[in-house]
Amino acid sequence: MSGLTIELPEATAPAEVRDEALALVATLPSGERTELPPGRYWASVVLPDGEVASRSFVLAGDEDLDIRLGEDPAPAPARALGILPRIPDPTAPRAFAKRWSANDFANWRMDIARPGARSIAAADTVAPATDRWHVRLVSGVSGAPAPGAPEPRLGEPSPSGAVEVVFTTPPAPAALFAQIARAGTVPLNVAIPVAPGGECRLAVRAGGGGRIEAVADPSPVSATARSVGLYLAAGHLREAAGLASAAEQLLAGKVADPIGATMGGYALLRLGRLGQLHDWPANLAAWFQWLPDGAIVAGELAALRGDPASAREHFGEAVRRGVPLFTDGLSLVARRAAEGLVDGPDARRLAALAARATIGPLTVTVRAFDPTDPLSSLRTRLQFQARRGWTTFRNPL
Amino acid sequence: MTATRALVIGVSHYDHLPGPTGATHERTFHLRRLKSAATSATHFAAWLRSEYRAPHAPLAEVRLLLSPSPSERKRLAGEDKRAPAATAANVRAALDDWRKECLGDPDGVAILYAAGHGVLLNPIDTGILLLQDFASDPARLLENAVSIPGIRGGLADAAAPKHQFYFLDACRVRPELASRVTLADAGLPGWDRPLREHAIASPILYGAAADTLAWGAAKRGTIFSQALLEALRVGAVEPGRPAGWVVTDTSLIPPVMARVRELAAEHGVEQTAAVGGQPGGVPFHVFAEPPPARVRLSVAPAQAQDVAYFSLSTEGRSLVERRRGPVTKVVPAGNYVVKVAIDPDTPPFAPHEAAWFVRPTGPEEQVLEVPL
Repeated sequence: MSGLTIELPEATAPAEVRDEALALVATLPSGERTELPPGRYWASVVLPDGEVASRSFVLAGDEDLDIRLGEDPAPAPARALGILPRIPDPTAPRAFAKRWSANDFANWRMDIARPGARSIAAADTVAPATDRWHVRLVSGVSGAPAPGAPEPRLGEPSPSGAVEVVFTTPPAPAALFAQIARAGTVPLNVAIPVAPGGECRLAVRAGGGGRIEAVADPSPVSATARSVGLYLAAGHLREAAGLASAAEQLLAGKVADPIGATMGGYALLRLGRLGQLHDWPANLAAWFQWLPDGAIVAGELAALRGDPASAREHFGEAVRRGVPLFTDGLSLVARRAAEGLVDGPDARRLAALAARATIGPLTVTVRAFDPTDPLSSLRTRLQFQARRGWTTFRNPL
Repeated sequence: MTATRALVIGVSHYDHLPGPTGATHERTFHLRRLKSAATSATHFAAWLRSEYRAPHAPLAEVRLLLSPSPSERKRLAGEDKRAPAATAANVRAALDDWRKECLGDPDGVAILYAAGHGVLLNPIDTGILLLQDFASDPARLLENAVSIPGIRGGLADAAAPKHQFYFLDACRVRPELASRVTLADAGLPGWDRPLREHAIASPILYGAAADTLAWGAAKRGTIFSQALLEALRVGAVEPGRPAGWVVTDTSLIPPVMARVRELAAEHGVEQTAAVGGQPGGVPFHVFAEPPPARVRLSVAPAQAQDVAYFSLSTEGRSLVERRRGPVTKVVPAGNYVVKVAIDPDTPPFAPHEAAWFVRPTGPEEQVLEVPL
């Protein structure tokens, strides 16, 4: 038997290995070795950016072969649906080596059109405005200014030209929202999916009608969680599940990543991979009392497993903790509240908030004077005092 | 009997909506009658009847309900002409019959495709299709509408098919009215739903992401239906697990999303497809044979063409034998060995042999240029 090891870029879904008849013979995470009989094979992997890297190779008898996928990308234009152009692109990598040698194959890349325009930091560029605009952090429980929050600063402009605001969250554990507003407008509230003491980037731009638009970059600690988000955004759900199964490890270790674990939990729920969730969502809910989404993941898992008592307990705890950080979480609460699995004023308030939230962003986004009080949504803000936590910017949006 | 049972609904005509020049109203969400939804439904139904294949659950029936526009009605042919109108009463009866037959066949497959006007009330997993008699009662606006996630929920029973596939080809925009009025949920299906979901796979592929619009073109059908059918035939086709060639629910997602975006851009609009429900990575459509691919073999530099001879083989079968390039041929998709012989011997050009994975490409050519 021969041995095969595939090296992949960090935080990439496992590669698939198929034989000459294209039967699947192995699914290999990076660096893991498998034994295969001698023969001709084809290995492929979907990268987090949506492109596919693949290579054909031959395993000789009693040899150990190491191959790498996803390296040395050559520039190539996007192609629709994996269909290659009629005329060979001179910049595309060549498929064949000059000599027949298993180790000499060029890295054949098949490009597919990137489906993801839903980058987690994406914002469309619009004409700049010159009005002052104001930002601050507020609590997702009380709506009050977050105590001890460092002043936000401007970061590098995002690739799309949006202004980037960098928040550092205070050390006290809390679910927080960034409020962004101009005088006389209803503030925009964007959930900040960052653990205490972490950093979050917000892409801010002027939207239609002079309104401000903003999208938060979750900035999870681990590359794995970030890749899960990218796979989900591009629609590669199987690959997201392949990585999300490692979400349990995001809770362990010296640097716990509850945000990354939550994203992994939502990914596995979305894919119905309940078996891969094991019981760690209960730990997520118990260890991070400030995070509503942990209890939501645990509650939804219990519901899907047919345990309404546990589901009610977790969802009840979730709504007590305040507004979830992720849109999926808010929507799950709203749905389960409509089904009667969770009730009470907190649940009804969140359901009302869900009806007013902006649909589409990864994190909860709602226009409201107070993000915890949906009935305040039509109130505009006129004053932005520094002692109330506001920072004023004059940069064009 | 283990079978696939499909329900296809297409609503272009609406009794209480204006045509292209009439005044719209807030109470009917400022909507107008459509021109392509029923066409899209007939296209999908035709694909099911002529191409869909699930060896373990052969297609038993396609229930079709249509509310075509006048121009669409003229183009209907065959059994499509006899399709009942997509009114609430007819859809309710069809849903109940379809569900009744699905229950008790857990190894079977359930497919639902619905096209027409759509709205949503909740950010996640809601998509409500408005039926022909939508807004017939102004006090119960969504009474004559059907919730696709509600259908999915009603088939979450342990006795229902483990593999279910839902396609909602409609806008999913929250009506302005919903910011001032709490709209009651869709009248249909009205089924009870179990708390625990038993399906292995029950994805919903939405033609429009939440809070976005879906677009269509008369005669050609909606952008989503065009993208979906292209993906089913080419773009979503991949090697199966463990073998063969299949389209899975998860392999559909990226090419449909990409193609919807491309087609929308070609028409000068924006549209983004999305997925909800519970994908499972399971086969949706299984090919009996490897799908075809058009390939073109050539060498570089061009002066080597006259002395380079191609051979193409797979699993011991030769498809091209010593032909001078460039060679154009339709071959089954798969893993090939390409050999290039040089005759007469012409340095610096040397013989070559290597592997080439040929993907299904439909009418487009897949080009391999061998550098000598």
